[in-house]
This record gives sequence, C-alpha cells and structure tokens, in this order.
Amino acid sequence: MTERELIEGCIREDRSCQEELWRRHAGRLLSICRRYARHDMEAEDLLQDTFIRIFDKLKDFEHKGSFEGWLNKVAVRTSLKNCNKSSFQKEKIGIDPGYDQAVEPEAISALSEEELIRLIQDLPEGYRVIFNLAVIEGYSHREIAEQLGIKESTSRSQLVKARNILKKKVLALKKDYYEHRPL
Amino acid sequence: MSTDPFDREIRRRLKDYKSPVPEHLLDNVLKRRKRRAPFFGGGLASRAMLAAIALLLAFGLWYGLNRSEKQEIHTKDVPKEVIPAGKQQKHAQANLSEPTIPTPPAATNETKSASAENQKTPSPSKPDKASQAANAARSKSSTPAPLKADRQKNKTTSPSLAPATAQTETPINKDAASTQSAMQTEVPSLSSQTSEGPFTEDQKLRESQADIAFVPTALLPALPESHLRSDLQFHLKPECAKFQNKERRFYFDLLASPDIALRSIRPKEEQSVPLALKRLETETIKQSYTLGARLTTVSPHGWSLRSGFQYTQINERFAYEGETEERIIIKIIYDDQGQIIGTDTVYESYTPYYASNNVYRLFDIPLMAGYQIDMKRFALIFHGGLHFNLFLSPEGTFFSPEMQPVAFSEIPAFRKRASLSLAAAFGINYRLTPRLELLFEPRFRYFLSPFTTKDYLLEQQYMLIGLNLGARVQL
Repeated sequence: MTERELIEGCIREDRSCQEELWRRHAGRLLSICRRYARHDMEAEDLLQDTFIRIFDKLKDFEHKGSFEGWLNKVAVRTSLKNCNKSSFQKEKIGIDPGYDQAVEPEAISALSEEELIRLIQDLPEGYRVIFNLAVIEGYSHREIAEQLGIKESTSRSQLVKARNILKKKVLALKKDYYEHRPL
Repeated sequence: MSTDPFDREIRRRLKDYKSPVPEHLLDNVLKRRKRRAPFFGGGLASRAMLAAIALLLAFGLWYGLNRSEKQEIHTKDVPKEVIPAGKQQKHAQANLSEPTIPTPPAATNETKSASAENQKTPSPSKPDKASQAANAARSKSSTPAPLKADRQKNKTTSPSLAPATAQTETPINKDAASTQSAMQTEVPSLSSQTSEGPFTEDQKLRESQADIAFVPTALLPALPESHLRSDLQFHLKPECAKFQNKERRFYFDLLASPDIALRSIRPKEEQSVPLALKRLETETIKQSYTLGARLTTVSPHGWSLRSGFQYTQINERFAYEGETEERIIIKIIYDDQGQIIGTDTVYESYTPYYASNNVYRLFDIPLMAGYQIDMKRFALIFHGGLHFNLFLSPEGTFFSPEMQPVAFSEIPAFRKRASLSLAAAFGINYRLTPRLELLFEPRFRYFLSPFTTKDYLLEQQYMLIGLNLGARVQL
C-alpha cells in the first residue's frame, strides 16, 4: 500500500488503513513522545492524543513535504502542549552549568536507546524540551524561542545546562559500567 | 542544528528509534475518536438535534427582530378637535405613518387640508387658500356614498343653523358663525363629489374622522343632538393615549458561571470500598465553570420559559505518590587545579509524585419554566426545570480496580450521556438600557443519576452550585 493510498484510506476511516498507519509509525512517534514526557504512562497518553490529531487532520495534509516529517511535527506539537510553560523559567538544579567535559561518542554508543531515553526523561522539564527541540528535532534557538514564548538566551542557556547534565550522567553510567562489569 | 559531537551522536541514535508500542493503544485512540463523533460529526440523531436547536434559535431571533420593527406603543386615535391646532399636523402625519391601518389617499388629503383649515380660521366671504386646496383635494378623491349622504344632511341643516347661532352674541358664536359660513361654502363642493368604487370599514372610519376635523369645536354645542353622528359623539370625549407593554417578550441571554462541583463517590459493594477511598484520596475538586446561550420568553403575566445550549466543564486534579524508588547520584570530586580526583556515589531513595487534570465536559439543553416580577429597573426571576444532556466527555486518569493509575478511556467507567438533571435558579436582573439587562443568577443543578455505568464498581454523582453572570438582550 502506497503512502497516498494509506492516507486516503485513513481519511475514509478505513480500519485496516488506520492499523497500517499505526504499525508503520506508532513506534517512532512513541519515541518522540517518550523524550518529551516525564514517564512512559504520560508518553502513551501523548501518543494517543497525537494519533487522534493525526486522524483528524489527515485531510489537511497536502502531500507536499515528507509525510514522516509531518507526523513527527504533530507529535512534537502535541507533546509541547502538555508542557508547563513556567518550567522553562523556573527550573534550576544544583549542577555547575559552566562545566563542560568532552564525552566521547563511544560512551554514548555503550548505552542503549532505552537508556538514553530514560536519561532524557530524567531531565527537568524545561531542559528536556529544549534539548529535544534543539538537538534531536534540529530547531534553531530562534524557532524554539518563538514556539515556547521564551527568550533566545534562555533557550541557549538551558540547552547548555541540559547537555552538561546529560554528559555527566553518561560519564557516570560509563564509569559505573566499567566498575561493575564482570572481570 | 547543533554540531556538537555529543549532540550528533544522541541525534543519530534517537532520531529514528522506534519504541515498542502497547497494542491496546490504537483501540483507545479509535474509541476516543468515536466517542467524540456523535456530536461534532457523527450520528444522524445528533445532527438532527443540532439542526433543531439552530432552527429554534433562528426562529427566536427572526420572531424577536420582526416584532421589534413593529410599533410598540399602542394608542387609540385621539380626535383632532381636542388636539391643539399647532399639533394637528403632527397628529395627521402620525396617522399616516401608522402601519396597522392602511390609509387611503382620500383620507390623507382631507386630513392634511383639515389641519390646514384649523390653523387658519376661514373667513365667511373669502375661503382661504387652504380650504380651496382642501376642496380641490376632495374633488379629486372619491367619497363614500353614506358619507356623501351625511354631508348632504349637513347642507340641509345649515340654514337652520344660522338663526340658532344668531340668537347668541358671544365671541364663540361669532367664530361659529364664521365657520358655519365656511362650511356652507364648502358643502356645495362636497355635494359635487361622486362616489366611485367600494369602501372598506376602515376607509369609512378614516373619512369620518377626517370629516370631523372640519367641524370646529365651538360649533358643536349649538348642533342638535340628532345631527351629531354616533362616532362624532364618541370622539367628543377626549381619550388619552394608552401605553401598553403587555405582550409576550423574547430575550436572548449570554451567560458564564463559575461553579463548584460537589461530588460523591459511593461503592456499590463492600469490596469496592478501598477503590472508593483511593479515588477520594487522589482526586480533588477544582474550579468548574459553565457557559451558555439561551432564549427566554416572558408572558404578559410574568410566566417565563427558557431554553438554549449550555456547556459545563467540571475540573478535578488527580495526584498521587508513586512507589518509593532508588536513584544513584554520582558526584565528581575535583582537586584545587580542577582535575578529577574521584567520585562519590550516593544512593538516594525518593517517592515520585504524579499529577494531572481530570476534565468532565457536558453539553446540555436546559428547559426551564419560571416566574418573573418586573420592577422599575430590576426584575426578580425564579426558575426551575430540567437539563437534557447531549453528551458527556470525561478525560483524565484515575485508579483502576487493580489500583493502577489508568486513563479514563481504558476502563468503560463513564456513560456517554449524563442523566437528566434538576436545576433551579433565583435571579436578579438589572436593566441598563431599555433593551439590555445584566443578570445575576445563583443556581444549583443536581444530576439524578451517576456519571458512571452500571457495570462500574463505584457510583460517581455530582451536584453543581454556581452563579450565572451575563447579559440579556430583548429581541
């Protein structure tokens, strides 16, 4: 079934097309939702909201850009709706933001995707959202600032803090791994 | 896009990563969409109901607007002879513009000329221009046959009038004499008129009223009673204009109300008590609200009926503490030069806290009857009736019978439609302008049955207390 046929089937409310769309994309979209959510239960709620929105808005898809990109965007927007705006301004944690230690790519490779997602989920909400938008979705700080209604400088500083927290966690996990690995 | 190697690596790993998806989620999605469908795009019955509401509102608006275009002050015709001469022109114009009784052109001309005649006292020898114009108008217009006969009678009686008026020498009678001769000059022209075409009762009435204007008030006492027409006798007694506002009124109300939702959660069986207690512990009431638009009709006696459309949102907070978990915090230790010399690993136990909002959305059609007491600027209103629920849409999280937090959609706990609800309100309206009023309306609403289904272990029932604040426009 081509993508266009799939979309048209979903617009007709064809159950088999809806299942096929779900089968092809739900896993990837759930990963997006998990990165923005605090825990997996919330991520599943977000995924449901995302698909409700997708099925409702499919008729508006103009087949101009990538369908996957459009789906991802819906998931990100749905997830952002769930965020508490004040968290971008208020959240502070007691880790020195000035510290920036290089982390070798191998340190990340040693971690599974599930572990990486858990690390991101553990970030404070404001950091988590900005890290996702800037690093994984590839938005510029200006775009992030516009979307979240914050200053560009806030976005930059929170990205640095989020990255530092993640680096430290990755290093800690790596160290823990080497310390506890069977000899 | 960030070019940091750390960022690049994370992006590479996570960009297209697919998480394992629980199978039941798609069913939930489709169920949730189906649940929304009946109102916004679905069933025939719901569409028909929407169309009926729209028609009801449109009819109400049309009827109200149509009514407001009509004259609202009802008067009885006041004879022209009791109106001061300066105001007769206006009175004649008012008669012209009166929409309920069509005025034939003949009456119009006569009325105008009549007032012109009254403004200028005609001289017996030389009829002035106004009376000439009146004669000209009459000669053009058609005269009803009976009226013609009447006028002929006036003509025949006029010789006998002269001696009668001559017997007295009062200034009034002087005036009467002069007017009488004016009549005499007029009568031949009247008699020359011919009746053409059929006449209605209204037209006759108009003609006769216009004709009265030709008879000066001062002359009337001198006329024998037998010469006075019955309608003339009626009009001799002046009657003030009566202002009436005793008709059915229509109003359009826009309302918003902050509400307090009082909830009860009752277990159906003894085994469900822990679940009920858990839900009572984890779900707390928040501020709710209601928005509505309605049409109200008030009878002349004050009885009123209202209906419309109402949206109510009951908000609650769901919050609970999860099971205690343990986390590892690794602290890096630096020396004076900033070199890492070691790490401290701290095992910390913590209790996660989860919170979300539960929302119950209700769309209703209220149907209420009541009584309204109008005062000068205020009105007191008492209303009671029923609310028919179109649909109930609950969204949120609660504890399942297995004591796990789950979304509402995962357990068929709630009905698709709430039950009938009883409602009552006591309101005070304040009139800002003749057509605009402010509403203050404390109210309560009690749902006759629980929101929950028969199969669910608990009964969840509500009562709402609120204060309607809004504006009312008379249509």
